[in-house]
Amino acid sequence: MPPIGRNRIASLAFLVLGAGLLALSLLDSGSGIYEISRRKVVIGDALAPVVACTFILIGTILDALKGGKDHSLDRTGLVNLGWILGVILAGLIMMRWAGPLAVDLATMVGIEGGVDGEKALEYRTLRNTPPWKYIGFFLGSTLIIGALISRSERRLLPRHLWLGALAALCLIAVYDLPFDDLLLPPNGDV
Amino acid sequence: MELLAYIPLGIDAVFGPASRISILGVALPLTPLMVLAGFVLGIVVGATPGLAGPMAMAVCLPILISIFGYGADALLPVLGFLIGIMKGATLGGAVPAILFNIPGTPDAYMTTLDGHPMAKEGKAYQALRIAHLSSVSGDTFSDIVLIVGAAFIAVAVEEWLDLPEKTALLIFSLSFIAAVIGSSVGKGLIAIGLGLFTAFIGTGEEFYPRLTGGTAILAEGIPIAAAILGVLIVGEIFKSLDDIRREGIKPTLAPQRTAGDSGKLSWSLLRRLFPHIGRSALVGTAIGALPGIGSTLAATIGYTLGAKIHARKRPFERPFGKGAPEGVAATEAANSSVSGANLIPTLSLGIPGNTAAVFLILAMDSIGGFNPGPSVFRTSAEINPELVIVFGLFTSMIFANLLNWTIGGVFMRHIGILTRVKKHILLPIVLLLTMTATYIQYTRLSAVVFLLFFGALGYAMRKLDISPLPFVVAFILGNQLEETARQAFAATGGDAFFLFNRPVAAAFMLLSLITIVVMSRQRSREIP
Amino acid sequence: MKSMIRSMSMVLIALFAISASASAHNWAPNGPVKLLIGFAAGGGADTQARLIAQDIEEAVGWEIIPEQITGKGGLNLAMALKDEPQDGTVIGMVATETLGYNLRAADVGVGPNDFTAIATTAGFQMGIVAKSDMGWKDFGDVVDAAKSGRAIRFGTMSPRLSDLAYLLGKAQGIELNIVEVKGGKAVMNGVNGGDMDLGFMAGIQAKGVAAGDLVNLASALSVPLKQTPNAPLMKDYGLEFNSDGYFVFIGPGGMDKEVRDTWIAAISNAVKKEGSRSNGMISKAFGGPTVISGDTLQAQIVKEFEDAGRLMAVASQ
Repeated sequence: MPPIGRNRIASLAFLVLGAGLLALSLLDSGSGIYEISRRKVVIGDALAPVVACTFILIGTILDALKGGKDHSLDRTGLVNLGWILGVILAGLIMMRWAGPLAVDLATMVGIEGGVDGEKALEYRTLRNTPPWKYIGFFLGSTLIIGALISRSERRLLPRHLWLGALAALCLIAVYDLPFDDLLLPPNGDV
Repeated sequence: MELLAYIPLGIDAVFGPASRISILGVALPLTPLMVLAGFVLGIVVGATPGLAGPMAMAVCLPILISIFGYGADALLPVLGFLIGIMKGATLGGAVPAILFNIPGTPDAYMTTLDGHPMAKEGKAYQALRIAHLSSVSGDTFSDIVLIVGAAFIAVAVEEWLDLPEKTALLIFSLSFIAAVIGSSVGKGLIAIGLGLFTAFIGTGEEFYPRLTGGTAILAEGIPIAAAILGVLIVGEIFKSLDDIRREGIKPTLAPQRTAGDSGKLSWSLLRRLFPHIGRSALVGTAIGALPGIGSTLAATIGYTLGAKIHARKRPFERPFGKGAPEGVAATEAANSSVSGANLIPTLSLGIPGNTAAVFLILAMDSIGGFNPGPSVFRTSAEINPELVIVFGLFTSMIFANLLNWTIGGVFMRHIGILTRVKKHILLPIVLLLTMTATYIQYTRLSAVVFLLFFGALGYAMRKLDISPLPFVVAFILGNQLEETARQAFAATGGDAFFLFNRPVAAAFMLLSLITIVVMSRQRSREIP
Repeated sequence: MKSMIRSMSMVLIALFAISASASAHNWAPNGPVKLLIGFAAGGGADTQARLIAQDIEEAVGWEIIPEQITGKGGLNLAMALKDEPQDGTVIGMVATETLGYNLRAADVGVGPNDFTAIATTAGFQMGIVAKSDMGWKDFGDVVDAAKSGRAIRFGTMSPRLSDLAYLLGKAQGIELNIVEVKGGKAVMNGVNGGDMDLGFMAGIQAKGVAAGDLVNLASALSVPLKQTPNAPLMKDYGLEFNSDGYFVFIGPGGMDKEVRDTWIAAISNAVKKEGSRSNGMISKAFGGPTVISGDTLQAQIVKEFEDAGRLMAVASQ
């Protein structure tokens, strides 16, 4: 038996979304639907988003009236999506912090890294210096690719991580080695 | 300067001495090299199921920008490369469709219907040759229409349309796209509304960035590439990974044996194919010139039309769907003739016609120095550099067609091996490529987070039967629409009815309403 | 343990900072420099910033990585720059209007002294421009046309310029339909395409004026335009304000004097050096570099911030 009322739930969700965005448009636009400026009426910043929300609401009503076959957004899909997003976010966190952590560790055990033999103690100053600049990207990418492949194959093999690592190395070769002023993640944020 | 005087300037911009680079001591023109590289990459990507032209365009763009930098010099090589991908991918998409019954790109689905039966009969090479000939003919025809037509439309728009009429034209384009794409008019409107709303975040005329709740991360607006790549590319990847998880990994197919199949096309066969190629080229070009309708619909219409005529005129011959060579020709000519005509609204109005055009606009926007729209075609006493770029672009397209005619077929017949690459390994890598590409362009992780957010949105839209293309087009046109409306309102001295009290503007508004009403009735009847 | 690492590094950083300031006059960034650009990619201002960065990289060997932060008249850049480290590794390029009128109008509790003014590179050549086939010779002809009943569309590219256009019309007793667009290029396209009758252009009009397609009806500066010295000033039409403005490099507030002065020298050398890339570009579009720097510049920007309040008050009447 197909799930009953799935389309109804989606329509309701879009109605709520449209109404919520409409309220946001009116409350958080810096000016109203119209304004008086230099003694003339001008279009305010709220008008355009209000029009956009009107489209959403009219579209939702038209769609709800029409009926038709059920859409296919289901629990399995949401679980899969959540899993994918979770893995990627974990990978991004790894990307962001693995490099600075490695620099901290290196400092602690007394390895000097850096430019011109100077003591460089911050990841920020090393963000364009190999090998430091690759640490986060390499580990994060390996994690993301390895985890996604193993999820599809429904088992975790060392081969998946190797594939991830290989892909990460290829990306570094393509995006970073030939170009001086490209910054790989996370080196523009630090 | 006259319009025609720009033809030699455009050719010079592509092939001239100023545009050459030295490779191993030989001075070679850069843009044609880039077109060639893009073309080859396009065929490869098109022939790999799970990858598509837009993905390659998205991933390459940041690399291209960092090689060539920002500024007018960068435009032709970068756009040439993207056009090469666009043309190559359409051609490549037919390969796995014919050999393995897997469409390499969505618009090649119809090609599987007759192409694969032909391959099973041992006529794979012949099917590939027919696909090549039809694809290239359709493409060339479409490009000619573009080159002849774009300037006229742009000049007419500039001549006849004032700010209120331009506003109405944008509204009409969006209504049209909402009405014809996707599973229903209502869903099209929802996508348009969401796209517009996304475009309006952080923008506006006040110094307070609207709809941001005062947060710094939204204040600069949604990063354009992150939203577009998210909905179009990442959403598709999420959906495919979801499918793989549900359905398991498909076993790799062994290539079809093709012994004794030279694939030579006899004259009598060609005479049977030409009417189908011609008709489908016209259909594809006409559909391509309308904003928002893609090559998949063109292929469907070209195929269906061809099938009907074929069944009526030659009932004694093999029907479409059972391995008719005419079926391959009708499909491939139609889907390939979309790409050229699609650039008519893109260049002359700044309205992207399909996903490939979206990426061309994204490239123009990122590099700067070229703002597609009627002003591009302006001729005046001094040289208009943007018009030179346009004619350079046309030159590149003609060059790409020459490549297509000469080496395209050869490549096509030798890349069947690519379909053996496994999708579930490829997709995570493409995902990471897209994330990295986005990061490089914006150099902040928040842009990657936006990318993932819009990827999730794209996934949900696909699952809810909401086409992502209206969203993207509305997102691109949103701020242009608002600014034009503001300007029209101010320029008419605060006339609140500026959209309705001028004949041309009123006509566009009426057309918008008619399109939506008629299409919703029409399409609700289609539903059983 | 992590906190131990942190505190240890803090101590070492402090030591490092002390040793750095001891070796005076020798400041150099301790890593790559982030150059924020407040203008759209590919435009004239963006090109200028990137060329200056290249010139500096070549001259002193620092590594400069440009990054775009556009929107809200440079305020997005300003708000992002404000919280960056003030050690000279992050700087930005905007127009003086950003820290003057725009910051004032935004009213977000931030003032020009939350930033360090480093140096200007070039002054705008702001003119009031129309197509020559309109038949107007100077702004007086526009006033006559308006008085004879013609609706005039005046293109501007910022709220400050809209205020000026409004007050200019008011001073002459005419009503102008002010059409505000994004950027000088859009004004030029509007004027060329017939969507607007005239508008402010800040240097982009130079080629068109030279070719005879466009005409400078007036200088919107306190001084005559370099290209058209005979065009009248807005002052001549009874407007006490002007649109003087410059491209300016700024840093976060409280930047060390030595760091700032090193940057001033680097930027000034780059744009003033004959034959450098940035010098060539600035000479073509703006008739040569204008470098105002340090405390003089800071004071000038503070004054613009205060004057902006007066302009807004007058224009809202």
